[in-house]
Amino acid sequence: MTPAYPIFVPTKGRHGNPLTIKALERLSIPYTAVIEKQEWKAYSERINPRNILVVPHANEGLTVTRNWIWDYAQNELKSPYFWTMDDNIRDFYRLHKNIKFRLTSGTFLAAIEEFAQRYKNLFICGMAYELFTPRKSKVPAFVTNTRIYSNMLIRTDIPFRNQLFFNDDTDLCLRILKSGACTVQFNAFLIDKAATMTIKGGMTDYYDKTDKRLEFAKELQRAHPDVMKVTWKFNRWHHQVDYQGFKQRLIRKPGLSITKGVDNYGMKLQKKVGDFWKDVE
Amino acid sequence: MPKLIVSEVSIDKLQEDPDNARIHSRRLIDVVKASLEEFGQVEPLVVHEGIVIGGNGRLKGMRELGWKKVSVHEFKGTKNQAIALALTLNRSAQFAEWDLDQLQTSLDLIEVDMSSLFNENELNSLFPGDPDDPEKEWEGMPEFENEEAGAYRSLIIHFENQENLEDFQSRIGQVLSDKTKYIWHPKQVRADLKSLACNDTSLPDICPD
Repeated sequence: MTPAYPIFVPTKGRHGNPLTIKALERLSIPYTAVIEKQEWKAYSERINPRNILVVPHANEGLTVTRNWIWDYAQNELKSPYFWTMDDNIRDFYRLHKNIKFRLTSGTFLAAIEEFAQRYKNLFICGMAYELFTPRKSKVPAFVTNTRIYSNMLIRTDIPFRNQLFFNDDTDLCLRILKSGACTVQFNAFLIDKAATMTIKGGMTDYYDKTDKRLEFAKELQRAHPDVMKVTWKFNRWHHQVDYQGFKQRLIRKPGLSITKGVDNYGMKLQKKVGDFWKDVE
Repeated sequence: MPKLIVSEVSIDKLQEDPDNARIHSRRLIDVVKASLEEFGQVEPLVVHEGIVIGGNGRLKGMRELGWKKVSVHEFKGTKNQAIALALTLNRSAQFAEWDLDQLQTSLDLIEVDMSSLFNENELNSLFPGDPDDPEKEWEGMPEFENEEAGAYRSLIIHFENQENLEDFQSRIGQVLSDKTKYIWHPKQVRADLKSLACNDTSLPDICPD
């Protein structure tokens, strides 16, 4: 099973090692790399040109590109949802019974899409970071009303767009939550991603020109002083957002028919024994 | 205390405050227009020398509705006082909070459509009820169970010297290298996570690595 909605990977300066693109290709998941014109040659040597979309602008930052993708998905593709994934995702996992199973197909994205479509007030959802989800801790399959980073399934028709230059994803989630709508972050499915600012990319120049984390945090605090504070801990600046005030519930669409019990979408948890995969009890 | 004197003036004689620090969203104008149509003007605009310092949103709504005459109260203070009053009028309302029980009672009582004031998402946010139950909402999704499987108890052990360390190692039957940060007792064998995968067996090919 493959996802129904288009997956865009805005990428810049990472043609040598496009992590998310490599991960999606490994799982045979269709995607579109969104690049700037000046990098066409470099990317087209690495990626099938049919999977490349060139934006009409250059060097305006990731926020502009993200909004261009959003408009493209809504107006050109007429798609009710779209995926956007940063190009720093190394792998995808499914968490079950305190074990993280590496995913080997795009079926999990289809499952997430079906979940998202159940609710009329779920505007954005995405997977949690594998690193922040210890497998031995009791966590729910998903949490509502928090920030979604790096991978987002977005409903195209919502009256929002990215705004801030840095931390635009956090800002977007906060504005959505303040409007009363919901976000969902899945723990049942996880991404393994490289830490922000540790690999070279389209925002590297901007990061180098600013006091990085402090500048990002301050921009976000100016936008959301009611729920955010800037703190210094672990030898660096952090933005700390209080999401506890967002208590809105998911509202199911009327007439929804949901399969009772479990639907594994054809996915099986397996262990490789020799050359064969065997089901895990 | 100056008296509140309300007079009726031509809307063409009024000017929006060019220094207004508040921005009026489309939604606000629409809400104001709906109220003006339903209830009429129930409060005067506050005006200083022809400039509206209180009610700029309403003025926009009235203009869009094509009103010719509006009720105003002329503020007689200085320009600086007028600016201070404009800020006070706008800011003071922001200090109020909802009494949610009373709001619920009021919304239940009235028969006027309030959907422009409170849309479904906002009502859901104000009156969320019991929190979502992830287990219930996960119905029809892939199996998910995850229990608390962390340590029953963790503690830090200090060794005074190498001899004590070696003694401890032999007692628990585990070797502590310079890089060891924690151990489990009894020793736990790490699962070979590389040999585990979540495969879609309905697909013809399974990702090999």
